[in-house]
Amino acid sequence: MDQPFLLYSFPRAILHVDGDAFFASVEMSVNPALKGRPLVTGQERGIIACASYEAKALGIRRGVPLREARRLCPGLVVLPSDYETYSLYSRRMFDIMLRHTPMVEEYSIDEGFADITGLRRIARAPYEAIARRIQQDIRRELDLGVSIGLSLTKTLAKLASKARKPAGLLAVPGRDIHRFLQTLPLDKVWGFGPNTVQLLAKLGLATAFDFASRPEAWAARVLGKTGREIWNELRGVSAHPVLAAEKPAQASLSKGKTFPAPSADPDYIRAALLRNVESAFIKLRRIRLRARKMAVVLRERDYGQQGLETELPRATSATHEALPAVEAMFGRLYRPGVEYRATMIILTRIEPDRVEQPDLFEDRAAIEKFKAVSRAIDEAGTRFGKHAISLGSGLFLRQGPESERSRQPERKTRLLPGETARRRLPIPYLAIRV
Amino acid sequence: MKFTLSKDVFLKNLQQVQSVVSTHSTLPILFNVLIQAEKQELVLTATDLVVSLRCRMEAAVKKPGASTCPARRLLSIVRELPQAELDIDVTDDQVMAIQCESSNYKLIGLAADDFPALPKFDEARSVSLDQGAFKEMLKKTGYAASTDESRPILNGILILMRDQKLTLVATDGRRLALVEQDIDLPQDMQCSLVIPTKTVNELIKALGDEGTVKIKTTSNLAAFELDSVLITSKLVEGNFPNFRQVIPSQCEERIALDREQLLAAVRRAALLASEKNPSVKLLFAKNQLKIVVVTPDVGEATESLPIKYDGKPLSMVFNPTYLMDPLRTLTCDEVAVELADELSPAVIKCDIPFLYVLMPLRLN
Repeated sequence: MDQPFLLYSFPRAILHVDGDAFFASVEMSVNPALKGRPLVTGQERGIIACASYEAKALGIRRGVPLREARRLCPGLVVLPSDYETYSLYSRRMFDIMLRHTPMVEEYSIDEGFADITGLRRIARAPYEAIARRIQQDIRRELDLGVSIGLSLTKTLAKLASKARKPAGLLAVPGRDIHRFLQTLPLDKVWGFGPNTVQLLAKLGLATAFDFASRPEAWAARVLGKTGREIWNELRGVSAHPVLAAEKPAQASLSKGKTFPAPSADPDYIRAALLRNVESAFIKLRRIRLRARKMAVVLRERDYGQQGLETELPRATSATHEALPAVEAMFGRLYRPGVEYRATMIILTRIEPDRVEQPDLFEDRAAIEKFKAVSRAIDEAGTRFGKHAISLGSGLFLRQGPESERSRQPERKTRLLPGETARRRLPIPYLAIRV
Repeated sequence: MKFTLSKDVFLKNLQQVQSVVSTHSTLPILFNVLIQAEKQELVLTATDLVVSLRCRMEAAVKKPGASTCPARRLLSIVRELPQAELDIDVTDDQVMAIQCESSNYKLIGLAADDFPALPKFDEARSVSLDQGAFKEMLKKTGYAASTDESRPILNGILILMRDQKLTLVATDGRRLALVEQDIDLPQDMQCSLVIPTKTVNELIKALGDEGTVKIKTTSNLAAFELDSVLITSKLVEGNFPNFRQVIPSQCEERIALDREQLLAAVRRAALLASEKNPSVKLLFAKNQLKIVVVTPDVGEATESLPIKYDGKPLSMVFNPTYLMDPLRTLTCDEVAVELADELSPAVIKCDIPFLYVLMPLRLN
């Protein structure tokens, strides 16, 4: 049990920087008067998207319905999600990381990896102190708390940052990995889902250490390539390097929106789904990709959900080329009388849209027509705002259900001089009087 | 069942049947090879329920009978045995004992009764073809078949017999290969069948350069009878797209090119093409063909070929693999490339009735 996996401390130094209750913390940073109060975001969905630590202390967690949360805490501050401001803070958080090292991977809006190997000399500080500086800079400049894990691989760094939340900093050098892993149950390990954990438990494993102590070949046999990678990562051997550029080609793109209140109106539900499809394809074209597969998901009021997947004859970025398949899936999924609360479209098998291999048997004229329509949608969109040209079904969106969930975030209603609903300055709106 | 035969003969035939054996199946018996011994003859059969292969060989049968045993394991054992006679004895409880000089092996099998029976071809129509010629035709078209399972009808070769002509066509939608030959057909014989790619590959392996192959067909099956080998196959169901419609009827420019020279130049240039979206650009100018590949972060390649060309300058972009496929399988010295414009399909022809339609890439 006390045999270390490695004798070195930091042959590689990888940081995982993870925002503490990121959305809630951003709201508190923008409006300091809210500090110290139990606060949640996600009003527009009716489910908690993010809970502040004060709210977490009362048992309110991500995914809990708002009604339930209010019952637990009558004085709860409930806010609609303000993704515009969250992304601004996210951008600035990564900018601060980039001041310390050029090797920064934006993993999601509120967490990222940084490779700081070899920076001790230039920083005139040990790795742990570099991590501390990043944490302090983010606190001082953005008034945000982050937890940082420092170790040899991304998997270990991520485990380390989770271990001391909030505002924690944990360094796990090579010679301490085995001791650190003994404290970690399997379900904490990045990449082990509930099924894998069940399987490993059946095989007599309880902690991350148990897994890493098995032979590499065993891990590969039981869990395949992923198993081998996690095994190596847990033992301090990098299988996933920090990817400094923006994420490699996206694997999927999804758009989903929860209704302000559940609805059984087929026109409205269909309109909401098609609006998601329009948004997804606008984004797909903006990042110059095309998709071959689509899935449609309808969520019911009682949190059940149904989905279907269709493979298109060819990859496309044209909204109208994809619509018949979406309509067909909606037709098979929708059941009259059932109340739905959200629709979602997921595009997969995504590839760059630079070079196209036409097919001998395709209807080229129709394809060119679809492309022209999409170009027109995009051109009108840049000049007059997104969805300036949209499907007729969009008219039914107006007859949608109303509720407190329709409340807009402040950043959307209080505009700065010169701003329009569509064009905004990249500055958060601070509720501070000076 | 008890028989004796030389290791080499057994190995050769086992290798031939084993490529048909399923790699994944829910029916365990499909991993096995059926072994039947009768009248100084040994018959091996394997199937994956789509294609079946049966081969016959001489053997000293001491006790006739039938059994099945795991094909790949049997093959790997036989492969390693010394070059000598094998004595094989299968007991009634399906245990196969293999003895070869001082080596003794026992292999547990399954009863022959559970092995799927080969389809019957009693009322089938039949036609005989020259093996060597048929094999060449399969080779010249097979690579163009689709591997995308979303259009199953394209996962094979279309075989058309009509008006004293045999036509083979394969396409994946991006390119189409067609080869044609005059044959003697019974007056009323007309047929159109699509045989799956796996069957095509087995046929190419089994067909020799001499002799004939007898093809029998029913509405959903085909059988190919060779001297000692029988291949039966399900046909791909569905309607093959109207391929005549996508063959350009006229062209603007026709350029004669040295096949091997063109192939070598494209192959070299393609070394710099990106793996995910490979493309090569062919620039046709007065008496010169330039082959250009530019891949960001990798580099660029330019190859120049002297050609006889006096037409308008043309710039065509192709997937290099699709361009090279026909050049590799053809044997003629010269090919003719027919072009219309940058977005219209190119046609590659050679003196035997062969035709290849290739859709150029579009840059968005």
